[in-house]
Amino acid sequence: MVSFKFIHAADLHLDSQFKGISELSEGIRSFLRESTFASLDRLVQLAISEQVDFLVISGDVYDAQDSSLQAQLRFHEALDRLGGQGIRAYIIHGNHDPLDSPRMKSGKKEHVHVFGPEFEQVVAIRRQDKRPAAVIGGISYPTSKVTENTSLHFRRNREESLFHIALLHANVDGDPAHETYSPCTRQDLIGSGYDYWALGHIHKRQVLHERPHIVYPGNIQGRSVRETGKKGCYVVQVNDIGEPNMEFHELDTVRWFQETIPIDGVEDEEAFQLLVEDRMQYIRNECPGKMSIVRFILTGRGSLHEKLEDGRIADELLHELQRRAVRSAVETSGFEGLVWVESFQVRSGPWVDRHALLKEDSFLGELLRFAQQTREEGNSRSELLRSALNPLTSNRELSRLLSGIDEEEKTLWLNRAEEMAIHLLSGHQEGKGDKEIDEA
Amino acid sequence: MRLERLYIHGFGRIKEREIHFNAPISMLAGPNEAGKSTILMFVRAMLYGIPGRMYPTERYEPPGGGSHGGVLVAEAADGSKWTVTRYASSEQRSGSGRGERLSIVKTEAQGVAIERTQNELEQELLGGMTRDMFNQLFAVTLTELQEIRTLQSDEMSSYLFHAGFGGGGEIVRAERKLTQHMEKLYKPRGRVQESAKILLRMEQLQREIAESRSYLSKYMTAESNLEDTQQKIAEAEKCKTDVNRQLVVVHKAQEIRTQWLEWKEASMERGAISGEIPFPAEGLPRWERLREELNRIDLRLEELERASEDWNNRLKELRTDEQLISQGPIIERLSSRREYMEMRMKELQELSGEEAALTQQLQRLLLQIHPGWGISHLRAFSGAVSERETVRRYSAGFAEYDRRMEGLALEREQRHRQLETAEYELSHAENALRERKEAGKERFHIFIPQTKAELLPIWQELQSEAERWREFRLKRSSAMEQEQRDALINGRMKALYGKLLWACAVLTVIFPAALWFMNTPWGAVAALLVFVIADVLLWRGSQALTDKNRHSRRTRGRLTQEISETGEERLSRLMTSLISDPLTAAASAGHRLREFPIPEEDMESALRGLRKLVDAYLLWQEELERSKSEAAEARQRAELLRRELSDLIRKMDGEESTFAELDSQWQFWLAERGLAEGCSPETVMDMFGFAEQGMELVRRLDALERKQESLRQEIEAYENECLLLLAEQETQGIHVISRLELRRQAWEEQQVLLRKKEAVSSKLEPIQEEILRLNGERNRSSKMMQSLLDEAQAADEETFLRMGTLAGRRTELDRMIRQLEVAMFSGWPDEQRRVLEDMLERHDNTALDDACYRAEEDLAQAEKRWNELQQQRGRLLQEKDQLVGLCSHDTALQQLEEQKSMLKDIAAEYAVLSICSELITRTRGIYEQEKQPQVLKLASTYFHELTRGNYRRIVMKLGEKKLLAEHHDGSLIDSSQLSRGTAEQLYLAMRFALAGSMNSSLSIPLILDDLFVNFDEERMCSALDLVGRLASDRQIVLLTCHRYMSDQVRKRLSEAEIIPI
Repeated sequence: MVSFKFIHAADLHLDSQFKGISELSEGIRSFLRESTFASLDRLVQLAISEQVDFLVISGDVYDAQDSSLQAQLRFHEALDRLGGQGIRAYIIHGNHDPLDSPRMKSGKKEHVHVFGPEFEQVVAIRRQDKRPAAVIGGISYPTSKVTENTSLHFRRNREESLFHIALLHANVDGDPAHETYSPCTRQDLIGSGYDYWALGHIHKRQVLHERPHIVYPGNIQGRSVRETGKKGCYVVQVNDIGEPNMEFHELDTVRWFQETIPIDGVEDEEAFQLLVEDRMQYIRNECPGKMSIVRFILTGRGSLHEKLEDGRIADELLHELQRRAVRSAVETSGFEGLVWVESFQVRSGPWVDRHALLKEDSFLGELLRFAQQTREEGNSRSELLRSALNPLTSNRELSRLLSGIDEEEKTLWLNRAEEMAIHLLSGHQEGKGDKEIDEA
Repeated sequence: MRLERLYIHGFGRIKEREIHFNAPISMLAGPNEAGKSTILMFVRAMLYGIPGRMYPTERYEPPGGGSHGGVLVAEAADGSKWTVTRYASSEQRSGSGRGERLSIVKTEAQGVAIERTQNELEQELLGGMTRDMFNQLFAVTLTELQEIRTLQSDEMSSYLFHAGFGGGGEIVRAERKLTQHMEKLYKPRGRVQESAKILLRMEQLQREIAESRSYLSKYMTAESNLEDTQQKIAEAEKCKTDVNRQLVVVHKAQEIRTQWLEWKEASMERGAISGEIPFPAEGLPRWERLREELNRIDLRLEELERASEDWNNRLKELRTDEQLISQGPIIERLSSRREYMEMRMKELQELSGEEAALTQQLQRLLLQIHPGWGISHLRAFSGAVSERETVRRYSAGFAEYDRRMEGLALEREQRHRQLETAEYELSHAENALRERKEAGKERFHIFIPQTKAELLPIWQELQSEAERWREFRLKRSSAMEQEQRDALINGRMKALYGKLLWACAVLTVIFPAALWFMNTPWGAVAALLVFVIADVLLWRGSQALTDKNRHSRRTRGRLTQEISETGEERLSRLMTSLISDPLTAAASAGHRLREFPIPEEDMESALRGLRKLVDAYLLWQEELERSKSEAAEARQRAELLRRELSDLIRKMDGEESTFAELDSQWQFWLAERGLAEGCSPETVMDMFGFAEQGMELVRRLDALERKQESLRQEIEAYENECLLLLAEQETQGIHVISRLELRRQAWEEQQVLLRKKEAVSSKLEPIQEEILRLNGERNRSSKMMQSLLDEAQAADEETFLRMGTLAGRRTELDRMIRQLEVAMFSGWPDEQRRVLEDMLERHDNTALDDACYRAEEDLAQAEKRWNELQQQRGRLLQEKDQLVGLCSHDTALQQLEEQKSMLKDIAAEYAVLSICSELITRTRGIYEQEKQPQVLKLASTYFHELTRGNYRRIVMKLGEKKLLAEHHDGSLIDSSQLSRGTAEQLYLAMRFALAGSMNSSLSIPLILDDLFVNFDEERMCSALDLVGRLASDRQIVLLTCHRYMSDQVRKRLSEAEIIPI
């Protein structure tokens, strides 16, 4: 065996969009668009500076449905740069960029190997002395939907002593957050005899197993609030007795955060704003050289909730912060240390004793009891939601959007609706009749 | 709250009516127009203000005018009493202004009275109830009872709900609010909602994205096309090059065809000429050149010979004078000095003229000095300084003498005049003395004493005596005046005393009497005594005065007489001793001395006259003395002057003698110098000047003499020289100089001749040289020609020429062939040259043209194709670039994502709202089915009771503001469809229920204005029973016009009081 070094990256999703983000300025939008490419550049730079022998990419280089020319061009450019340094690249195609999707075929590149729809194995050599370093097996998605367990094709030849690397785009153990393409189990992989499973498809970085290593490096650039935290790739150093040593390297240009702010005890808007700004400063300190996008989730119960619900202080603050971000992006430090607030998710409630309300013989009490009952009962719950959301389904776009919304979010809506009802109906409950007359 | 007392001062038809409420239920019973409703309105007006003029029907203004208003006394729940006094102000107020006089006094249970405002009244006494609410709920007429059907007042409806379930109004509001929000966010087929806008934008973006999605395939197509095109271009290029090459050959062939033909011909001719010909290079032209040279030299030689001969002849013709030539320079020098000499001669003449003039001037000068003087004298007369000094000394001596003599003469003259004056003064003074003496003697002869010394003592004595006399006189007159004055004073005093005495006497009597009378007898006695004494004293005073007067008058008389007598006598005596002659004295002193002894007044004037006389005398004496001294002085002065005059004359004589001596010396000096005797030194001084001038002239004359001499010598020398030169020439009396001039002219002519000769010989010289050179050249050329012939091995010139021609032709052909070859094939490799030659051999002109045309056409086609392909390639490249450019700035997808996100936010918000709304709706459904508001429950029981069980309950549709009655058979009947009586019972039940559910601590009284008229007896009874029960909580006032009502009340409600109106 020879020692060698390679990079394992996956799910580049070049030129894909940032989800759930709006009110961007032109400059920030361009910056975001450029971010996946910037991360790719960083990947190439890393490969060059680490002097790796080769690079493996486990699928989803780009989103075929967008058929972005830019993505293709930039990817080829990056490959050319690697080729210029003599670094080879081994690539499989995943569900987002299957082989049947439009691809640019700009001539055969000597240093790039793209695996076909059938399983194949190639021998990778060490850059410095051209000695065979590893056997790389891989299989690409011929179409976007592969439901077959392709991991079963990977079988190690027992006589072969070289380090074995498997490239697979698959959902191991059926992660429900992702589409279950190429379903397989951890056991399948362990049983194959491969030393390193370079997986793709799941965007969250995770090492499922060691010896053999089963690794999801995650994507190189988070694109939605579901992809928070550091994003990058693994530099894997395999020593001469075939032990891999992984080192994670950040590559992301824009980092996502999700921050929870409990509003309990927050007196007023100023305090709230200070709290938010404080949190933003914290994020800025966390990753000073990058742009950050944060979603604030407001939880807890407090007097502030009424203001959040009633007035539009969250919206106003959001706009203000976004406006500031736009300005600072244009002005001084550019995008470094820029914190973009994606949204405020209000999950807080008014300061009321919910349990007392539940027991109360009042309209509100009745309502809450009804809501609770509905939430627990699947049928009536979906019936309620259906009738409530019915008007939205008349629009094609909206109904498509609704269909993409999961139960969890719908539950959140239901909760919010309850809080809103409490807010609307209990706000003046303790007031005398006369007061109410005044209000009318 | 409880109404206690109403005092209606004036309201509607009611005037001055007082009503007391003592029971929990009061019934006001009376016929129509008794004023029941008026009382109801009065209560309303008292509590909430009298309605303005805008509402005449509610205002209840007294028809006959007068006070409009009254007093209401109520007891509040806390035991305090409220007294409301309210009157509409009588004066007209503009607009809706509700002018009224209001006084609200709250008297607390402890007896403290506080002034309150209307607002406080409403808040504290009425629990913040509004006027409308009070009208609708508590002070109700039949018409207003019906109004609850419509539940017009929001206030009421919300109250209705609130009383039941935690804010019925809130629910409606919440629903409304939710709906509003939702509609703002989204509406199916809405156009203005936020969602609609986003959807629109999304559509737009999707179109854009569809466009940008095609970029990739376009790019790929473009790329494959590009590859194709590249290949085609390569092919076209090759084709183009081949054709081009062929075309070049054909073109070349065409181009050089004529040249090729020539070349062919020349090659053939060259082949004909063979063998070597020894012929010198360039032989023919060289021969030609030499022959020409030779001819030219011969011609030139001939020409030169002729010219040389010609010039020699001309030289011989020119003759010259040798002698003149030798003399030339001398003549030239002399003639150059000629003008100078002439000038000299003229100068000489001028000098002799000047000399004559100077001599004449000298003669004149000598004559001026002395007629006998000549130049020798002049020369002898030395103008030395010593001589001049001597003369000047003499002159000074004479001048001094003259000055002294003149001074002396002047002094003498002066003295003489002074002497004369002194003598005159002397005689004058003597005369004056004499005259004065005479005059004095005549005037003052009356005086006895002759001299002044004698007269003065007598006069002084007289004066002192006169003084004494005068003094005496003065005393006498003053004594008389005193006497008269005293008499006057005494008279006045006496009168005063008399008056005092009288007054005193009166007092003496009255005062004591008065005292007596005043019971002071002792005082009276004392006063009497005092006054008596005073009287006595006064009386005595007046007596004394009379005595004194008498005495003074007596003493004065004696004094006057004696003194005057003696003084006058003495004076007269003295006068006589002073003045001798009384006659003359009388003449001089006037009438004073005529009588003697003179009376008193005369004496005085005599004395005055005498004094005048004596003064005059004394003056005269003084003048006389002065005149004498003046005369003596004048004499003395005259004497002095005379002496001085004689001294002066002596001095003048001395001076005269010194002058004579000096003069003789001068005359000697003059003679010594041979000058005229009469000359004064001054003249001699002038002569010195003349002599000097003369000397100057002599000197100048000498200088002139010398100059003339030198000039004369110079001219002579010059003339001699000229004569020497002109010796051999004939002298025909012409002046030397003129002759010289002639000679010079001859010389000049000779010079011209000489120059000509020189010119001719200078021309001749080069000609001869040329002839010599040409001869040399001729020989050289002949030799060269010979050598040429030898080289060509030609016997003669003719052979040589022929051989030359042949050699020339051969060289020419060689050159031509070479040139043509270069022109045709330079730059062409041998291989191609062969192809070319081959082509030329095989094709004639037309064939070549044809081939050329064909090749050109081929080329044009190939080129066209190539161009097309290039353009295509350019287009493809451009398209590719464009696509790259487009995609690099394309953020539509991201924008779409943003819009999606926004849409999702909206959808989420909408969903929350919608779910909330749904929740409320469903809960409301549950509520409406299962739970009716508390008020309705209460009302239902009341209604049930009122209808005697015919109806079970009242149901309210939430949000619809509709009341339904549930019949005991279960059917629901809308309130508007109930019979009138039942409907009214329903409303009454509602009213009672609402009033009951109101804040009970205030318990506002119910005032019901004949509400039961439409009830049947049974239901009326139940209503009354209900009222009776309600009265435990609040005061109730019933108004009715029906006897049966009051009867029933009296029967059923024992606690009620009935107040007839």
